[in-house]
Amino acid sequence: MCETCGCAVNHHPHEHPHHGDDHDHHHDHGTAESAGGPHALLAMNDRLAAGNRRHFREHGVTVVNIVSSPGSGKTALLERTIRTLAPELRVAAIVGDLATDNDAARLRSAGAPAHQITTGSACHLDAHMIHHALDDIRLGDLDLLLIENVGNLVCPAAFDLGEDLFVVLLSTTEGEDKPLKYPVIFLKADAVVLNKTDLAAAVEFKRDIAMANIETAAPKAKVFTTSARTGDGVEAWLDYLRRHVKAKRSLAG
Amino acid sequence: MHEFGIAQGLMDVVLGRAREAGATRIEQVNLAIGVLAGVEEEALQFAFRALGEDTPAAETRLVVEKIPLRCYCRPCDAVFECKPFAYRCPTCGAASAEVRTGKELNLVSMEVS
Repeated sequence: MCETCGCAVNHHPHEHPHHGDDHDHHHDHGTAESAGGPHALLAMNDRLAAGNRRHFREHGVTVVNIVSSPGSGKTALLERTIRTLAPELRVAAIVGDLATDNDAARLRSAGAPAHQITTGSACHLDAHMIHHALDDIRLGDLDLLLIENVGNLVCPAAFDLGEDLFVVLLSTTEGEDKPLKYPVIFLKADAVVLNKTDLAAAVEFKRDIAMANIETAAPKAKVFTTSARTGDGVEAWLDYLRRHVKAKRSLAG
Repeated sequence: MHEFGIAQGLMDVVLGRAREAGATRIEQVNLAIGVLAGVEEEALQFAFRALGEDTPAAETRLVVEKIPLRCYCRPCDAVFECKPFAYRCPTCGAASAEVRTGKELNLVSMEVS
């Protein structure tokens, strides 16, 4: 039994009350009364996220939650990030997909321990999944934990994982107006990475329009433009990670 | 998509409370949902109805109060309502991402009988 979340480890049959036999349909109208006070529906996730965040802080580990639509280049950017940073920082990754451990295998080849979460049909990672993935990851041996979320620009916005940085990646092939179409997730972004700049010309990508849309939808975000394939622009992104790792380490003493 | 999971969480809470109150029927559930909560009311209503079949929540009215997005403007020291999704202060034009309301996803109250 897991003490934090109360579930059987890696198995969490939630208790769903069963009704039927003992429930009679004899209704007595007009005597409605109130039952219980306010309750945050994501309280469970937020509580577990706070627990994750506390663990990360205790170990001085910087945690990055990376979201994008499928095929924007999250794994490619992380491969390059790991290849460059692994010799200087202790890096690990958690990857979420509905099926396969292909991405974790790619990140392992790039040089970091990688834990694959296969969500089955779930469209996002939640704090509970991360909490259990941490059974496999020794935080004391880490500086930087990269979490590659399920490819989806909708649902991951609602689930705090306990991260320090929420990063939204989009690619030039997706069109300039993506930030306006998915405003909820972009508003949450600490950083936006515009990837696949090497393909910009081929798809007649209008950079000025895209940048204006990012500024509108993600006013607080740092913006990076990269080609994960060629490495162009990646250095500024890596410096951003290095700065955060250093700051968090110094906080942890 | 994830509205189903959220509806299940909500269902667990309201059925639990109805049981504690010794009620056989949940008349109404009042929610407050911010425009940034990432929850579609229609999808949530559908999931709640589907999950409530053959339970005390079978005929429950799910009433949703939509909470608008309001941001804080530092230069003006004022809170302003954002038109989705332009986060500029109408007074000074500064962009702000300091969200004050709009992320709520709360069960406010419920009535049972």
